[in-house]
Amino acid sequence: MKGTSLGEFEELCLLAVGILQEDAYGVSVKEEVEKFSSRKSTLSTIHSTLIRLEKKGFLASKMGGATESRGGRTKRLFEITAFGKKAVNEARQLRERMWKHVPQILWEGGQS
Amino acid sequence: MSKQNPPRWAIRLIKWYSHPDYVQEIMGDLEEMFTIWKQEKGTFRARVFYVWNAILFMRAYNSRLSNQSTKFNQLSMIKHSIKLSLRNIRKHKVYSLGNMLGLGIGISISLFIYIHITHELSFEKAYPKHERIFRVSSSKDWAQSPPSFAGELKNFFPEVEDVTRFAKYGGNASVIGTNEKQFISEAIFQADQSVVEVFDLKFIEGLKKGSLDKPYTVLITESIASKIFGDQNPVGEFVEINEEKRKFEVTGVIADLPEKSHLKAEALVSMPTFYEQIPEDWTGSRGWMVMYTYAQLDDQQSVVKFRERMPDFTVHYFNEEAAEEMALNDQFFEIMPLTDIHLKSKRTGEMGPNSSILYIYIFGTLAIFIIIIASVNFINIFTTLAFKRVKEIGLRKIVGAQRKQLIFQLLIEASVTAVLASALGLALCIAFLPYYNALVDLTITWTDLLAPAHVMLIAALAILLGLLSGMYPALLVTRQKLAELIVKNANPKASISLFRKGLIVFQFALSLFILISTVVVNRQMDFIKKKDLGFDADQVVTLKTHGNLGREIRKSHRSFVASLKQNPNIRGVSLASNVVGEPLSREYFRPADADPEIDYGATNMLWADEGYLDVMGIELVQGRNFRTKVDTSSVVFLVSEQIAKNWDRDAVGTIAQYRDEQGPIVGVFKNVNYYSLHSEVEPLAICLKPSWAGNLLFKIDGENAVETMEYIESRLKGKSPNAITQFSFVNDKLQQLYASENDMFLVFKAFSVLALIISGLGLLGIAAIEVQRRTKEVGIRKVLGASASEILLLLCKQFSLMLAIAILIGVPASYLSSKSWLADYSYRISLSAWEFALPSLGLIVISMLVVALHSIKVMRSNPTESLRSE
Repeated sequence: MKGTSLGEFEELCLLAVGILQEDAYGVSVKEEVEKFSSRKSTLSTIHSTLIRLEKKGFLASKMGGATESRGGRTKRLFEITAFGKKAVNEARQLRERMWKHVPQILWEGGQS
Repeated sequence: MSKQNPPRWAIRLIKWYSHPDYVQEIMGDLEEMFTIWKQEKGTFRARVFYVWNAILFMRAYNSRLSNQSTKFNQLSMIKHSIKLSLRNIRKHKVYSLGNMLGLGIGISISLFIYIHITHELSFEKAYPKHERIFRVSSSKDWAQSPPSFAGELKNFFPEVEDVTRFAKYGGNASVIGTNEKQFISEAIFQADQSVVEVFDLKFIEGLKKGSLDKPYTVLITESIASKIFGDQNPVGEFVEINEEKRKFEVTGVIADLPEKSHLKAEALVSMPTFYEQIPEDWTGSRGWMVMYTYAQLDDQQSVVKFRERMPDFTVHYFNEEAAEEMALNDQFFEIMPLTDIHLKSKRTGEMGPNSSILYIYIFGTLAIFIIIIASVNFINIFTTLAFKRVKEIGLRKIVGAQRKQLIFQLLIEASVTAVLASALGLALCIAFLPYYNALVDLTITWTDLLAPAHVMLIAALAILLGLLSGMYPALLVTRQKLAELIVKNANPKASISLFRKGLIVFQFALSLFILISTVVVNRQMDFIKKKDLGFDADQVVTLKTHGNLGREIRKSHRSFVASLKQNPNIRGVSLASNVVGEPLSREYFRPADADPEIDYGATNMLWADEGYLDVMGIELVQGRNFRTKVDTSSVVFLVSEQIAKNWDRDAVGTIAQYRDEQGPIVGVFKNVNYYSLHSEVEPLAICLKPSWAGNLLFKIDGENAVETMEYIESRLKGKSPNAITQFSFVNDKLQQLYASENDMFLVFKAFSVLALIISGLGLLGIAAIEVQRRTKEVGIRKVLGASASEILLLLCKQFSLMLAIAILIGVPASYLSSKSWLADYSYRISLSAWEFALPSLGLIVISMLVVALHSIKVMRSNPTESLRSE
């Protein structure tokens, strides 16, 4: 186990769960990630990432929300734990701290 | 509609592999995605995605599993074993690969043969009532029976539910069509109305009832209908057949008859036509074999009762006297199941050439031999390899492996190798399918090949083989005491055990058997090909003259022939009633002054003009050819040497009786073998009667064949503009006579060679391992002063004894089987010693060479190297 580090794709998933709030589960997270990052991912990747995040303690899950389109099967609904929020925040702060040290002129053209 | 939902097997797959805690969400999520995919991409692609994702989830599940505290299960044990097996295979790359290749080739050949045999055995099965339909003929020699036979049959036997008859219409080939379009068909039959019910004909157009009740009506098959009428509905239209003035009304279109059947009818003319066209003294004859009579019984078992009353029926149908005579000659009526015709019937007047059950036996035996050789190989090599690993097994024991686990490990290893080999076999099958199809002229698809039944059969074989080959070393090695395994580093026994010796001998014997059989078959086939047939059909082109063309040519045939001969490229022209290979008319032909009591048997009769001998290159041995100016009596004959011999008199000058006419014999020609060389030369007489001859024969110059044929065609068109001018070479027709035989032979040869390669691979492996096993022994002997030749002798000795025993078994076995195979041919080679000696010698030389090659390596090596490894 890599401990509490947060991978890039993991971060995206975690954020997606944060955006979705009440309704974060496999399919919706996949759609959210694809919407923002415009990159394709398979359901199984999302699933294993979510489960991994849960194992690391960033996410908590409960079962619920069966709908007809799922053939009456329940979903595993995820939500961010306090530890998870802290981890995302730390990742973001880390990034901002580092950005400050990047010479502005050098990268200006690349920023959008 | 199940096609609207995800594939059920994929769902089952998920349920199977998923952890129960996660099944719900995985399936739910996938179901949701499935609806989305379905809307975006269509049902088919959605199903594909579903399956793909279901497979991907396995990976996700796996990662979960490893995170959980591992449940101890059998699965990881098997995984471990499989991993080890693969490692071992990789370690002994060459041996393992050779081993698998041998088994793979064996499996693929056997699968091909298996498919071929099922194909042959499935003839006639497409007719729903095939089990209850029997062909009844008036004697063991004939396929046909007289016209009145069927009706009497039905009245006499209560078991007979229905009868139906077929009779070939219009000779060997007929022209069918309308004024505008005409086609040649070789399969026009006359048939009773009852054929519709008995053979369950499927009507596409027209009414079943009364379709063959009236004279001059015809049923045509779908393919003929589309050729003549295109998309138009032909019912109610009229077609012309041959030169018949009255047209035939099409009363229906039937689906093409099943391909796997001896019955190849393309058009069925109503039976009343037969009675209308042929005079009553012929149709009433009880000796005219013209009808193929099929009886539908009420039950398959009724045939027993039917057979019992056969002699009674003979008396009933003929009179007491005739029946007695028939009984003397063992010529009772015969009843034969429809399904037997394709493989077991070889009679005069068959509808077409049938296959033979002999081929099924030969190929079946070959398949079994090949599988046995491959299996024996496999077991041998695997066992030898296992014995090389005694140290590993000993170590495992020390670490605490139970005997059960060790056995399990070896069994798994053997099974993995066998399964891999089978997979290789299937892959080979698919790769070689196109070639095989081309070779035997079948259309097997790879889905036929991978039918569940086949795959299951092969899987079962692989596992059985795995267990068998794993069992022996497993039991033997694991029984050894620990100390023996580790300390001595020796094999369980110093020499090859009796069990494996037996297997090797068996394999040698089988290979030798196949080798000798191949040589014998090869020689026989060669013999047949080179056999002098009594004629030379090289560059002889033939063409059927139908309808108008025939009439025009016969009107002024001699001047037409003379004008054609002006062309220097045409060496000879003749008109003849039959071409080589086609069945000839069998006639009563005897000396006019002979005692009527003497039976001369039936004679094949051919009607031709004076150019025939010339064109066909038949040699005249006595008398002269026909001379139109001199031979003016109504019939004049040339006869074959066979007839002269049968009659036992000077044939030239004899007046011969034929039907109601008498005429002189003017010449004797050399025997001609018109049919297959399976049969003896039959007596042949040629009668000068061009007006009865429908085939034009041309001997042309090989140089300008195409131009010459074009020239002939233009001349024929000049006679009759609409004529069908379809040329064929007589040699090609002749080839067709032996086509199925040649095909079979080619397949046989190919498979035999492969069988030999398999056993060669096995020998190579065994020899290599055996020699390597004795490296240390050789080292010690060398140190003690043994010479190279002594060592070589030592290594070869073991094999030579086995070889000798194998030869003692293989030679007599192949002698007996070759003899019985050759008995089927009238013209056959006589078996000589070298056919047996040479293959035996070959086997000895090759195996000794293999052993020697391996030995040299061991002998060259420095003894210190082989001894140091202690």
